[in-house]
Amino acid sequence: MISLQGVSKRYAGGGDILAGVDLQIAGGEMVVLLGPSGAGKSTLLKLMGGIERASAGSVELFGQDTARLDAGRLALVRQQIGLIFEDFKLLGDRSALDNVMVPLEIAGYALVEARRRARAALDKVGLGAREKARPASLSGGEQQRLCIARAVVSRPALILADEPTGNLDAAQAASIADMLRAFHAVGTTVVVATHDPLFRDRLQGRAVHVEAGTVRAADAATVRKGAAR
Amino acid sequence: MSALAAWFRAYGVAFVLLLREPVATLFNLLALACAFGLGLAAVVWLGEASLGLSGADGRNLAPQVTLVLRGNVNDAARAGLEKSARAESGVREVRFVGREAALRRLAKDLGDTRLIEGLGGNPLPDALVVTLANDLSEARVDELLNRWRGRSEVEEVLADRELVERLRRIGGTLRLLAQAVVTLLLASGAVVVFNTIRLQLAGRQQEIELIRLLGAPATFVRRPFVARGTLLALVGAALGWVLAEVMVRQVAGWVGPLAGAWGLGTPPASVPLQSGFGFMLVALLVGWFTAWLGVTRHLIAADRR
Repeated sequence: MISLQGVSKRYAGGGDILAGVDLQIAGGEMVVLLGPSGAGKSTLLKLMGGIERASAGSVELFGQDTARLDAGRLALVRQQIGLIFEDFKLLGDRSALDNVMVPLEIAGYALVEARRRARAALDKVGLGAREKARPASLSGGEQQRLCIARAVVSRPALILADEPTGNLDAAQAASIADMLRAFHAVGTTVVVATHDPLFRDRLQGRAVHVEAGTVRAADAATVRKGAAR
Repeated sequence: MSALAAWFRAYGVAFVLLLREPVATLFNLLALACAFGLGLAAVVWLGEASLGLSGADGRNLAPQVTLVLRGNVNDAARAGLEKSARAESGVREVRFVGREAALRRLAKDLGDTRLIEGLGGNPLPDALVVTLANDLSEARVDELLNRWRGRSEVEEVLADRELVERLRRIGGTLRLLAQAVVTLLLASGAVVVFNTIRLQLAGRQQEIELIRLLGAPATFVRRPFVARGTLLALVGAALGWVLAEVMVRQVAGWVGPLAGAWGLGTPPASVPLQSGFGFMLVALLVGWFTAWLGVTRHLIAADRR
């Protein structure tokens, strides 16, 4: 599903954020990108999501080289990805329901159908009763759940989550992990970037360490052992 | 959702958003109404004047030639001359003006018969007034004039070619002026729409970035802004039409009697429907294109960043 080969990323005026990264992620996998802040996890996720382009190497997404896609096709590819952000990126002037409807509007769903699906997604994350609430009136955990509802409402093949529990307490983080595992259980590919070891343990996915712009596979058994604790 | 339904929805949302910002909307619409209204009034006034002067509306501004007949020309000779003139190609009309009729007309124009009575007799000659076709070449006009000058029945040939040519040139200049004024006013309307859209884009930058992250194509991002720009221009043009109608009626009321007294014809009393709808269509296109351009520029700049 995702294939990175010899990928490097350098921003103008800065050094290499990523250097020669090779990584393969199969469909239906749960992958946890581990590493300290500034290691390049978020950049890696952005490259996987087609949000940024690699300075060198190739990034293939759903079998397509993202560097060769024009803006229109890249947009179509992005519609198959559910994005979860640490800072939620919710639209403050819209209700919870309207926020969740955004990906469906982009995908061209009729309003009635979009509303029905958005309500179902809100129910799934436990926010069915808060559909009219504005994001500012929701707690941090609720905002993240709203963000997850928005990410999964169009039933994406791939979920990319960047530090989804960065602003949450342990109980809320556990709830988010359970949700991501539930989506993974129905066949969705999930890639999560985190520096939180407890969250990593709960997810029980393949761990990939990102350190100083390079990656190395972690011992999967270690991750599972950690999860059992 | 079909593209048409999406556009309808975008217009609905744009309408609601315009209502949510009543003060900003009002000022934008006032600026647009002034620009478009003055433009439309300019089209009506200058356009009408230029058409009238250049003869482009089919009015008779072709050279009129007066063949002043000699005093001894009898009816048969006059009829022969009239017939031969009518047979010439490029002649639209030949009209006989007898000396008595000419005197009556002079008396009427002067409004005072004492001067005429003082003449003691009728000093005016019989004449044939020949109207030439609008598109006649100068060479052909010269040829006709020379031919009539050579006729024994003709005392003198009077032609008003220079005056007509001058009027035509003034008409052409007025038409150019009208086009320039309309272009300038449409451009100022475009600036208003462009700035409104630019402010909207700046205020919704985060939202745009987010929906692009979620996979929105450029068309999806552009749609609400283009709908807003088009709607603004359309309502602005409709208000401009009302404004132009008021101005045209007022000016017709002030200038009409004066123009009539000078024999210049009456100024337009109302904005013709064709001009109004045509102008609204142009304003709509200006609003659509300006908004489209504003968002596209913004998206290209965002992609570069």
